[in-house]
Amino acid sequence: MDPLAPTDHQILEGIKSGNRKILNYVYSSFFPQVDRFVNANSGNTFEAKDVFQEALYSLFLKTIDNRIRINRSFGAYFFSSCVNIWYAALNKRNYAFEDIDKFQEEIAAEKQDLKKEMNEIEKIEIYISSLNKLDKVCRKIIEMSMSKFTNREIMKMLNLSTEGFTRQKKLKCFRKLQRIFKQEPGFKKVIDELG
Amino acid sequence: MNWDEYHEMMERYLNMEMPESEKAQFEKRLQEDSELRRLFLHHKNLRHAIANRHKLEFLRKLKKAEKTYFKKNGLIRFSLVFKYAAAAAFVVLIGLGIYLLQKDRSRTNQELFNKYFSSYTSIIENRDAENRSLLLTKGMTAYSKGEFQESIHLFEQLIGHPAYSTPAAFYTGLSYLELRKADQAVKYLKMTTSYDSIFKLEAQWYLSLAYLLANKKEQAAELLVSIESDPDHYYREKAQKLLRQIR
Repeated sequence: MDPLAPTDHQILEGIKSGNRKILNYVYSSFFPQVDRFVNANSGNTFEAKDVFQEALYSLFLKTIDNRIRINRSFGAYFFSSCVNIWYAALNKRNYAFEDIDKFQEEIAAEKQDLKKEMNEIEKIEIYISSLNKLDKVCRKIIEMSMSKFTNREIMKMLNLSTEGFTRQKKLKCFRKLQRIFKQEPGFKKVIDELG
Repeated sequence: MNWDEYHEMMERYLNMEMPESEKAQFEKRLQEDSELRRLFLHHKNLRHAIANRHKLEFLRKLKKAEKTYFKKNGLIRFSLVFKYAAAAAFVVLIGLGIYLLQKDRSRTNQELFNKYFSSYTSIIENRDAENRSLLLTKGMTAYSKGEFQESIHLFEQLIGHPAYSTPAAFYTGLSYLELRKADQAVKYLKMTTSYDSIFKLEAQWYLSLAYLLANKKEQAAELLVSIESDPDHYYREKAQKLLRQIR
């Protein structure tokens, strides 16, 4: 065992915080194994890449919600997540597996969650992309306002002149954001979903 | 009712600042008025997106890690012709590159710091009398006037205060940087970067400069790499340029 390798706890913390070195470590240490498994079970490297990403993202969601309970090594846990995801994908293609039944319910629930999650991410991307097109001051005003800062607090922290000015500026920024949002490519889809 | 009034109403509702009677009225209105409902859901989506953007950031980092892995392990294969063309171009560019790099590499960390450091400016100067008495405002005034010793003294009193700790730590770090006290600047800017706040991105950039000033080149480079890998980072381009010079 490499004495310089991160511990399981460090790996989980690194995934939670999106640490670049840990993510690189997870790829270089575990992807080859997942790749071999997928390739040996009717898949290819491109599919192995999807499985790997899906497993890592699921793990990230669990770590940020503190839902993670690992009772074996990180490597074993992560590999079995990838196996489950790949079995579920094969099952969709009507492959029969003897041991698939025991995973069925768990996988189906996770898949559903992940699908919802991906839709959500798409939406987040559209909103954040609009937000990033605003100038720095407007962006900060909106971010603070959305994080429940009062006009008074925003005024103090951004060093704006008066509360009234801050209020007007904030409304102006929101109107500007609305205009930018309407020009985003995914805007229609989001609006349709709003009903 | 105009857009602004609607907007403020929605905010108060989502911040749970509405009294029960007004809340019921607002909910009734939401059911009846489809335009208001759309505006409300849109606003709620935006709030959700801001609160959850770390998920998007994680996915981007994941993509980047994947790219790094395959770049190293060679899944993407270039054609032979492309390889030769790239090799020829490389030979031509390398000569020019060596000259330019030599020129830049001869710069010291201090010189690079001076080249890339520019003071962080607070946004608007006009303040009312009431706010002048507040520590944060006073600190910012001192900072804007270039009275950094005074701004440090004022901001340090706010550290630990839940509402002001992050901006205070940020400006304290900046003030130390202005005074070229690198170790102190590192301490406060590092504190700012460890929390999710609106100053985080700025603090990362200035922290990398503070590391440079402290002759901690490796730590500066590590931070600059993470700035460079974030496509939405305000200082991404600057980080790219500086990285090329310190590597």
